[in-house]
Amino acid sequence: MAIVKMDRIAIVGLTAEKSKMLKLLMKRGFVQIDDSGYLTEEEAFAGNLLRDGDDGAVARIEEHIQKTEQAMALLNALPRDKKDKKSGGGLFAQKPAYEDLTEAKVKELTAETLQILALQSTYQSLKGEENRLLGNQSQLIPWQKLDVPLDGLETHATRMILGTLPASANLAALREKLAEAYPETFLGEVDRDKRAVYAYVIAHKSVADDAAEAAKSLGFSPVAFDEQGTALSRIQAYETQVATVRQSQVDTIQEMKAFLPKLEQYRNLSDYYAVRRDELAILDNLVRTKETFYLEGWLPANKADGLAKELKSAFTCYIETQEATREDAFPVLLHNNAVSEPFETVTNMYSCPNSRDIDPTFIMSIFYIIFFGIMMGDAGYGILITLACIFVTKKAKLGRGQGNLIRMMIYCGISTTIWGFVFGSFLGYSIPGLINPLEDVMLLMGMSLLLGIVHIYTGLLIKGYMLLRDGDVKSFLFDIVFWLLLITGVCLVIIPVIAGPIGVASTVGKYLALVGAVGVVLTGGRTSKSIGGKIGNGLYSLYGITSYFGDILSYSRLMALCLSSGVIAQVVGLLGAMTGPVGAVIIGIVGHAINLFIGGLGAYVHTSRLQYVEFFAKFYEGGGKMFSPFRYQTKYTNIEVEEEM
Amino acid sequence: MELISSLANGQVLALLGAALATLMAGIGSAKGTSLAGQAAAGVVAETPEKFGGLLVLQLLPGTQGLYGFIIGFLILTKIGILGGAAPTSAQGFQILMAALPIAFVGLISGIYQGKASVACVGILAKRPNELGKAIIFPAIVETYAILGLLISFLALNGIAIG
Repeated sequence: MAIVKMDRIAIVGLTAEKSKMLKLLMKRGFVQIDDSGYLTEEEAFAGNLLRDGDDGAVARIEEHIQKTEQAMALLNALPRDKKDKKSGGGLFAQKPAYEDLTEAKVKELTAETLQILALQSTYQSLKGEENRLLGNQSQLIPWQKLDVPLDGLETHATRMILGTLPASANLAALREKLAEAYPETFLGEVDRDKRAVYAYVIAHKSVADDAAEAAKSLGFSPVAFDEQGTALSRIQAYETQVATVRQSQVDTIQEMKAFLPKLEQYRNLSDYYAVRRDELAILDNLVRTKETFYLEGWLPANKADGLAKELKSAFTCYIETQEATREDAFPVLLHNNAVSEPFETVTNMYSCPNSRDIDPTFIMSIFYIIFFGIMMGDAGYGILITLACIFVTKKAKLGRGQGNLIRMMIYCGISTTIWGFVFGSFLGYSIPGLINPLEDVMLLMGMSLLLGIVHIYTGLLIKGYMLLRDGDVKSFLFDIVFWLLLITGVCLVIIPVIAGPIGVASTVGKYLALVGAVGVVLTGGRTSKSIGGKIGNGLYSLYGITSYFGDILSYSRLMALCLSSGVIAQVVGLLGAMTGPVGAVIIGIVGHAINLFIGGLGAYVHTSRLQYVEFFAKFYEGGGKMFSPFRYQTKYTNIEVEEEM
Repeated sequence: MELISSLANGQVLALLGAALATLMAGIGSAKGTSLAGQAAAGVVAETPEKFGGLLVLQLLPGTQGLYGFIIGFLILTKIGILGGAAPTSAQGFQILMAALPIAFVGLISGIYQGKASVACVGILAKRPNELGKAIIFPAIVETYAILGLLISFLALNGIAIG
């Protein structure tokens, strides 16, 4: 339950050892390297201090990553045989271990990825070739009845001009018209289909051009082919060409497929490049002189001495570490016990704690588990949630920081089971329990609100602790103690009105409320300058009581959601009972699955809301920066890093 | 004459309550989830991997219908249709009144929660990691549907029949 203490670290080292040292820091993975660029702007260094970094090299590696990714995407898109598919992992596939590749291996793999890309462009051009051949072929098809070679349309004295006429053309009439103008001319038909008549004009060479012009004015549009042999023979020739091209395509694909078994290695390659890129990109944060470099950053305090020793023994360098104080706004790393740890997600979803905050995760997780359990409130659902989440956690080997939501739900499921037995509900069926939500309404309501009061008091007390920690006793007394007295008092006064007499406690409550109220009115306006302001704001701050009671009443949602998921589970059972055994099973499975999903979503949302709006608002600031150490960040592979926090 | 007397029948009045609770809250949720669904569809068209988070946002305004359904169901179990005994006219009228909070709040908060969801779809479209915050905004609207459900439930629970 805490924010990890951080140390500030500054290192001056030799340029010759820079890359080695960075590699070591990356391997350790617990140092956050900040931007030291501001140093270059301080004039005292008179231009001797330069910002480090090599954008060109980073960009080159980025290009490599991009190409590798492209090659992998191509391989992934290849049609696969059944036996290939098996290698494709599954839902719970583990990432393989990262392998630091040798230079030769990198060269080899990179060359292969480039080869894959080349094969792809070959494939593309083959596709283009195929389309071109098919296009040419389709133009010839209407002319296949023409048994004259396409390159032999001229005889000694005549020329044959091929062309199309509209399908509606009256060939005989046209022929006559043409013959009238050029008597030695003949218009004939090769073939016709729905779109056009495929025709030819034969004319004496001396008038051929004019005859063609005349034919054009009659609707004849000439076509020319740059082919040798008859149309039919060309069509057949194209067919064999297309077949060859298609075969080449298949061969190319096969060639690409040959790389498929090495997909894992390409993933490793992509990660290798990513690591190299990170190594170079971090240089941007460093400053350098001719022979030395300087970096500064943060690391967990308990690791500072060890790292300093390790670095000093391995390198020629100067290292300074300094404990950070709360006011230093250091990056925040949370550390919690195994149960609370996944709930860090909930905290961070609101906002990462800042360095002055208290890490609320541990206390919040306790309430979270309880509230979630009440809202679901069914033993059967609880067991299902727990088992499912344990199954996934084990199967996918989720460790620290992974699958937080799922690991959270293991505990929430256990709590749901317990509350289910308290409420006597198992998949909507009544079993003996302590409280019946539909009968003991006031008890359930009282319990919800009481939990709310405990939750809100906890929030106020944490704020109180923070104030005391900062030595602000006055604020602790005025803003926390008076309010606690006032709220407790008012509650004690209200309870007898609703739930019957509670004896002397209500008299005590009256005085508590009075003391609290007077205290709040007297001190609530203390920040105002004028007397009038002090009185006015004091009175006005008493109005804050409404927001506290609004907050408390908000916890009635615990009861409402408990009822809602419980009643729907009952309805599912009832509908099932109406339809007989087969229907009961179907309706049961579908109905409970829906209710489990919607109820679970509701419980998640509203539990989170109670934490964020009612609880965190009392003490939590947030807005911190998350600790982001310089470390291996790989996409496809896993790197074992020793954990010892 | 028979029609008029049947209108004052306790069971009929109570059934009207059940119908209103289910109907109005259901309409509210249908409208709300439809609004959110339309907005979500636009985002999914561009980035299909955000489907999961968007589904959650679409579902948020769906609970009002469930709340109305719960009150409707509880009424049915009370008035001699799925159990219990037929109420008198006065009791039937009381049950009708008890159904009104969730009926009206369900209708209106469902639509407005849907609008909040639509706006939060925008958060998810631009910042997929902020789902947590995007969920909280519509959830605040739901508070009032929950309060309506509670009052309907408490009132219904307090009406003794027989």
